Amino acid sequence: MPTRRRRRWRSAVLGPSERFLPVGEPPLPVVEGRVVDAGPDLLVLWAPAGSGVGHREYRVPMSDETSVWYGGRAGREALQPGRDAVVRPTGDGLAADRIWVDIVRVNGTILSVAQKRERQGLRHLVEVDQGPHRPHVRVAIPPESLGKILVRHPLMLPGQLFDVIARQTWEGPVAVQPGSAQPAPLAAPPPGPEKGVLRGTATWYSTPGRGAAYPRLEALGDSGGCPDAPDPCAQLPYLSLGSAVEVRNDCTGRGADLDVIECGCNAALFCDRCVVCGTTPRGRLVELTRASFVELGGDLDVGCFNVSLAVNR
Amino acid sequence: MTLVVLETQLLVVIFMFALAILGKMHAAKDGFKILALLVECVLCVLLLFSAHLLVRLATAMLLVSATWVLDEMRALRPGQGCGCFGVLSNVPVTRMTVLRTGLLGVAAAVAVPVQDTGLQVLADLPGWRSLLFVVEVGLIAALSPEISTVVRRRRVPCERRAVPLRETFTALHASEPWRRYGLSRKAAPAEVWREACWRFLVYPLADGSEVVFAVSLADGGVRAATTDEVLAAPVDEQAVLQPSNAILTRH
Repeated sequence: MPTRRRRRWRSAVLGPSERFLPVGEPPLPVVEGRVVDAGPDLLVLWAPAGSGVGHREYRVPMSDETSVWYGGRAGREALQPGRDAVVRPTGDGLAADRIWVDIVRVNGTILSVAQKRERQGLRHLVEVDQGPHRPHVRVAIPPESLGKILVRHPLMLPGQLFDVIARQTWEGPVAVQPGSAQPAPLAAPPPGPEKGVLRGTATWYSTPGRGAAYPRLEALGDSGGCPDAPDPCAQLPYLSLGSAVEVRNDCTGRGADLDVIECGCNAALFCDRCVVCGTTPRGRLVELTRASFVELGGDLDVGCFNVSLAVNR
Repeated sequence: MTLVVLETQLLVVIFMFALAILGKMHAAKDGFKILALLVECVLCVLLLFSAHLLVRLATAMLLVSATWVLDEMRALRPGQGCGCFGVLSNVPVTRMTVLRTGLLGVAAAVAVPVQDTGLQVLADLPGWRSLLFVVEVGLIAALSPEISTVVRRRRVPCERRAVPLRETFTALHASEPWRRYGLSRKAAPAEVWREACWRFLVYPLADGSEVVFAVSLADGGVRAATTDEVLAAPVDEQAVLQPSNAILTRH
């Protein structure tokens, strides 16, 4: 990953970067790892060490206010050893505020839709192309989730876009709820940057660590973009792997500078809005890793937050 | 007169193939795009130099099949461009795009019985043929979303404008910083990347160090720094931010 080297080169040639977003609330310290043990008041996780080298145990206190997600609101019994968990602490950092267990997101273009009859009803199996950087995934939609998903994805056909929040199981992801609506035809391009700041939607994708997938990476040279990526509907500038973006959650005021670590070809396909706090202009500006999304105060089960984004220049 | 109309269709098809080849040559390529480029090149050359029935039939069949594929694409992949004319065709496929390809298919089918090669027809271009040619190309241009893309692109700010690498190399090789380091024009950069209105190029120097050039995509200005200056440069704040999992630790 050429991040640091490129940043040094850039600073040497052009001088320090100009900032566009005011410094907001700091990001929350998030823990993302495997459950080792869980008691009534304490969760033990095995997660990458803060130094970036190796793994270590993290002990996270839980209070009565701590809520757990496991395909919906769940009790402490969902915190079983071996499961994957993301923990967001309270604002004061003294205890866990929210814990998401085995949460994943599947989004991209539908390749095929199959149906399987089961005792509980008809189970849909949707194969999704998540773009050139992520594997194809087959997600199951159980009968109890189908209605919710069809409301947002009425055209569940090959070639259509698909975005669901799912629970990871040993058989693969099981869809729980839609992650977004399918994009409507674009009437007019969304507004461009205002004083260097763009407003739109931030979503997340299932990758460990910090960073962002950016929908407009250049495909030429070593920039890391996808040659087939469509023009994103947001008016984003061209960047490269290793570029830095200023990201602020407009709903919580928390902000951070994040490295671009992947091409967000998938995000470029979506031209939807986020309505967590007010309605954003159309277009996904950035896809954050799970940890980065939660650090800025996002709820993984909600799927998006209203974001302000600026590019160092 | 009928013959003039038929022969003009042949010229229109050749002209559109030539434009498509030019567009694709200036775009990023993958296996399928290279194959499409090769097929179009071969057909374009054969249409110019041969009057064989098979060449004409293959051309018509290709364009008719392309019409069907585009129509399917419009319905199933609504946000995607066809790439017919390279980066200009990144705009979503519309009914107009399908209609345009369909009309070209009809033109290619109509041109099947023409006895002369494309080159012979081209030699007879002046007169009615040229007028008809201009009208038909104008009609196709009116149906093309790529034209509005070109017009819009002229107004696009540098940070969102697609700029070919060739333009960057031309600006770099003509600059004073490039001459200062005495590099050969044939030297290949070790790394090339872009951030908004700047493209960065890293070149190894004879003494083992490296030089990085920043070429402005707005005005073609060039700046340079060597490894020594790079090491002395301050690291931006985000590089020293604590990674996730660093704080909430209670033993």
